[in-house]
Amino acid sequence: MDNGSISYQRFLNGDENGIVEIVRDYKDGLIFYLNSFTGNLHISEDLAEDTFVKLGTKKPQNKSKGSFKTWLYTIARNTAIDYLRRNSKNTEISIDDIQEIISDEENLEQSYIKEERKITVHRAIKKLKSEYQQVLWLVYFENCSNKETAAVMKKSIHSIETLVYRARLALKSELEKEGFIYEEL
Amino acid sequence: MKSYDEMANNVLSRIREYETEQNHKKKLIKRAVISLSSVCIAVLIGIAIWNNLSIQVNTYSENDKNIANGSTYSPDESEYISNQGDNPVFIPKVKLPETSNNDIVADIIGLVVYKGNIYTQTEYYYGEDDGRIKELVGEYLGYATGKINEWSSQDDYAKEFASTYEGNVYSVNGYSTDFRICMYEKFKDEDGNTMIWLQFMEKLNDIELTYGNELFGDRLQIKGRISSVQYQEYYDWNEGKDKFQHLSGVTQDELNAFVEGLYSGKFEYVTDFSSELKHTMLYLRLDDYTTVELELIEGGYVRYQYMGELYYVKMSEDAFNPVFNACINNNGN
Repeated sequence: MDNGSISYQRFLNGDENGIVEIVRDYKDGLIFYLNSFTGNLHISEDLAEDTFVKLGTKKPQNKSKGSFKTWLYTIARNTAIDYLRRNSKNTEISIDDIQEIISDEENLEQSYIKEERKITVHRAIKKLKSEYQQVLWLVYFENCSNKETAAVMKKSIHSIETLVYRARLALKSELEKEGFIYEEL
Repeated sequence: MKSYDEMANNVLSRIREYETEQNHKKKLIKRAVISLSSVCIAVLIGIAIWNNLSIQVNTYSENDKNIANGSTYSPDESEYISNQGDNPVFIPKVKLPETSNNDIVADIIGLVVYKGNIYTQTEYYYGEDDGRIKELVGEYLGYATGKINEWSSQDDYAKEFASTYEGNVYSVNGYSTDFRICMYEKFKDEDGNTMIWLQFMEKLNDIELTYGNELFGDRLQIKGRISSVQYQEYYDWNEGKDKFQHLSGVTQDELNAFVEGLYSGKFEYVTDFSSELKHTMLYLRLDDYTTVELELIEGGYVRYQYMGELYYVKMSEDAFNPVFNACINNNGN
């Protein structure tokens, strides 16, 4: 059983620390993943919190074949899709808010992604379309296998392979425009 | 941005609020039920007295009427409903989930629309082409457009070959297209190897099922076609680890009896199993290289893996236990 599953089981058995551990272990990665849907870090943070609250209130069982993390990301993805359905019109953001979001995002990148070259890649990824952002985040930053990524994104493994290939080409092109060459791609 | 502690505190506080609200609702419902029960008892006594005085013309209950009309009932998933007698279980037509704040699984599964019915994704095969899987691919049926997504409306489902996947759709040799069709692709991977992808799509919704043979016999035809049996510990399955083990310690007679029990077992709605019950996964490898994946739950319950988590065949334990115990005892659960 992975750490997330153990923490969740503890929570289901009545130990509130279980959910606290889940927040600690998954919060930052989940916010970045959700950001590939919303493009707004503060909204993504709220959606990450909503995802944890869903776990805590609905207490669903992980009956999928995947790990706890894959399952959690699937719930988060559904939460993001629900949010986008309800808020299809663009909301206005003030300049002050934009500056705060940028600053928060930089801090989160430093604490979660850490490596400078990966941060560069992350910033380039943000310029791609949402589906490419999602798949690249899961594969390159969360180290999900194609099978796990397929489970989260509700696609066949073959579709994921094709998507990763196309997303990688788009990312390379974006990085080259900015004068970077990233050999691990 | 919130720190870990801030977010954790927010989450805990919202969970507690939710639980308090739920407890409050339960209390209100309990009170209302007690009050209504008193009224109902009085009314029922009145009706009983009236009926005794009247000519009894209609002895049908509402449920009996439904059965007489050939219709069935669909359960409310929030409560356990045991279908009595020979009533079939009804698996409703797949619908795009409505937007809901409370929806934990605002989900979309792989699907394709064929002849007005929705076929959902089940077993798939992906790997190097060894020629065997290709034999399953039958007649070309059409091209799936891949245009359904989370934002599609119900109207989109009415379009022939609308789907979440894009590609060619075929019949499957040996199976009725009323039950199973497939999507198939052959392509070169990045290393130049010829790979195949075959995805079965099955009509497992908008159907009624009474006995196991309607699924495992009429549709999947497993009797006499099992070439090997494997199982997987539930834990490994749950963690996505492909650790299969050959089933040993089961005689051919016991395996045949298991299949017979599966055919004669009755479909039931079950919404909640005790967490104490043991589970295992069983894989019946058939002679056409397809696999039937089953979840076995202590007490004689069997679920076809791709059927919703509500519909189980209840087998006789005499037929079920030898196979189930072999899986459980071998893996030390």
